[in-house]
Amino acid sequence: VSLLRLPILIHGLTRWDKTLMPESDVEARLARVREAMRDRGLDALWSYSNMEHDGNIAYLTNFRPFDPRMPGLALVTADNLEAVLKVSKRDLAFILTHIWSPAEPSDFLSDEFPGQVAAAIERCGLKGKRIGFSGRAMMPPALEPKIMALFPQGVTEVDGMIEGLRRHKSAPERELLRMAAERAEGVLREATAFAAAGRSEHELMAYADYVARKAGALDVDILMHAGFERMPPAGELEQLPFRPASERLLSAREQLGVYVALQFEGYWAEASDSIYVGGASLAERDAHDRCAAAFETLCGNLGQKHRAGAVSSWVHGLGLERDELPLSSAGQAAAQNGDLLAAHVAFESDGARAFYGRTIECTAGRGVLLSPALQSA
Amino acid sequence: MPVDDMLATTSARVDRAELDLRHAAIRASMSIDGVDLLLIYSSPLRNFDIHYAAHYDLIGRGAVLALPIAGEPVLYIGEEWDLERARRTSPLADVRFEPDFATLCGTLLRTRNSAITALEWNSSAFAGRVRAVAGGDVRDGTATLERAARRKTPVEQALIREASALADMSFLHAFETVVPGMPEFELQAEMEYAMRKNGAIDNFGLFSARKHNNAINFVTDKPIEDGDLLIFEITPARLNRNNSAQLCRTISMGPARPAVREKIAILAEAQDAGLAACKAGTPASEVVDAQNAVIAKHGFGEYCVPPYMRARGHGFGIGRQELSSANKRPLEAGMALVVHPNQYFPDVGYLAMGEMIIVTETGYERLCTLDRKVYEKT
Repeated sequence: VSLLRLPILIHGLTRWDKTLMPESDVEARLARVREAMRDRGLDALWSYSNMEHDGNIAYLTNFRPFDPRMPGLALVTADNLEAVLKVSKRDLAFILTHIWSPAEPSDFLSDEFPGQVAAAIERCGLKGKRIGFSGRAMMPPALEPKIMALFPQGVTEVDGMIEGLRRHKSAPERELLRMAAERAEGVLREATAFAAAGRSEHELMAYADYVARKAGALDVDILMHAGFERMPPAGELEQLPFRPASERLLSAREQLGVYVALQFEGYWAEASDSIYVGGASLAERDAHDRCAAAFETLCGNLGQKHRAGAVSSWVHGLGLERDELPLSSAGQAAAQNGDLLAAHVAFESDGARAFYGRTIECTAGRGVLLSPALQSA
Repeated sequence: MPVDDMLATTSARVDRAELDLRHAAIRASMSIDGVDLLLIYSSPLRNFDIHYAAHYDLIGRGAVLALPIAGEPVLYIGEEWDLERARRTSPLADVRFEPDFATLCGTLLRTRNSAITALEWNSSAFAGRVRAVAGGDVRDGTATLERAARRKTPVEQALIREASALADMSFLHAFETVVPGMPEFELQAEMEYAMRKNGAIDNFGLFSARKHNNAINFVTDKPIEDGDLLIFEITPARLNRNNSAQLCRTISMGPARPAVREKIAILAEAQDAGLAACKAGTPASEVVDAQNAVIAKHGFGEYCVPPYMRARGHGFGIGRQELSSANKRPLEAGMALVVHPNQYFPDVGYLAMGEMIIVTETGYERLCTLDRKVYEKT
């Protein structure tokens, strides 16, 4: 399952707050990258990222491609870190205020990108060196051969190396994820209070988006599920039926699922819950209680092969991307202590539906909420 | 099939008749290029092609529309759980789930005279698999689709007019709402909300507040201060980014300095000149030249190059037209463009001025309703 939707432009609060992500943590992170390079016998590492999968370049440089036309390549050597970014000179001046590496611009309307990479290879003396490359398969078909031609001696493909390092979150990263989760929780709470008969799903989405942006979100995605729509089959691990808001007006009595993905200082948190417009019936309260209990059970069984029985569920890693290691639900069994995860549960009984999902940390084999949850829908 | 998720604020409906109109344009373009089957592919990085051709709001892995030169098109989506919504919202009769786009596309591309769009917006790995299944090189149909989409249909034009009204409203809301001490990102949130609650689905939004701006950038937590110049690119989209409209304007926190008023007057003159050049048949470059000539006349010709400006205008989403000196392609009636002489001046910094138009046979329709001035918050 993928709920991914890319915005036209990521344009929320953009900064590097060094009180939240200290330079010492960045240095420690780069030291781990270099150690992984040494383990693989690499002299240099090139990493390609685009807007759809931007976690690696964000991890290495704090650059987040904000436009689908603007990918980037980061270069790490034993004593150097730099990037070639497909952005205009004008944009680069701003980008340099919040990334932690030097960077060369390569105008996104030009075809200069391979030339810029070639210049970096020359400048850094990388000819004939052992080069690692991540993200090769992600490059567009016209770009990939041009970039690869710059490495006539070949490259060692190291897809998964940085992703593996990203899985182990530092204390500042955990705090940023906690802050993101707290904000997602606030968005759910405000959205629940705002939802009312006669308001449209679109208005509700707009308000939730507003709450998130006022709280400093870099990006946000609000999705919904109405009571008349198909629920996933019980026991299903990868069917979470949230979709973009429509202009349908909310009725006086209805159950609505709401999913919030919120990015704060680069880090994504998720939350989902049910809103019962006009108040929950006894059956709906019971459904929500059972859904929350199933969520607890799911959290208690992280690390084990577990099918959730009467509920459907979705668990996946979170961090600089919305879907990180351990990847989705088949990987519910693969959660390890220290993993930061989104866990969502959907439940239906006799027409009463409930959703419950939060950002959790895997501790001693079970999932623990990163932010105090709403006590009731 | 009724379409039940259109926004209430619009009188425009993307129904089967509208899609038939778009498909007729695409098929005319296919005829020119000798294409009998066009696969219109959208990945998350370029979601707007499928929205134009199938009215499907992409979520997840991707979607493809198989459009034959004659006969029923088929929409394939990549998320099985979303099939119910796709069938409800797309006016097309045949909507299917497809778990393996590379095999599907490769297989369909074995058809004689077939082509696929936007493969360049996908990964080389995906493109390689498509080619392997197709049995060799595949034909790029992007230009075929783009040619068809350059002229907006009446429904698209109506949506773009609504987007332009949202941009105007959002700017006036910002002008009314802004107070010293408010961080940039909070004002951006206010503007976003004003647009979204009235029907925008997203916004290409840039906004900076400095006493001397070097460019328009993304919002930070910098507090807005007296004496700041607030420069905006506001670009709400209706239903999809294809139906975007952009407004560029400048607010002065407090009375504007004479030098700012003088430079804004230059930009207003450049805006006038640029728009005066707009009509069907005019090469895009002439709209650029007209704007630059005014700025040069006032002694700032050396600044009419990057990084002191970025572009003199463009379209949005599918069928995007660039207003650049290198683009000699004639404007066409029905094109929707922002014309913006946004410009850096050495004494006052970067100032914003730009408006959305629809090109007509004899000129243009101005969508912006705002004055061409620096808005002074006193």
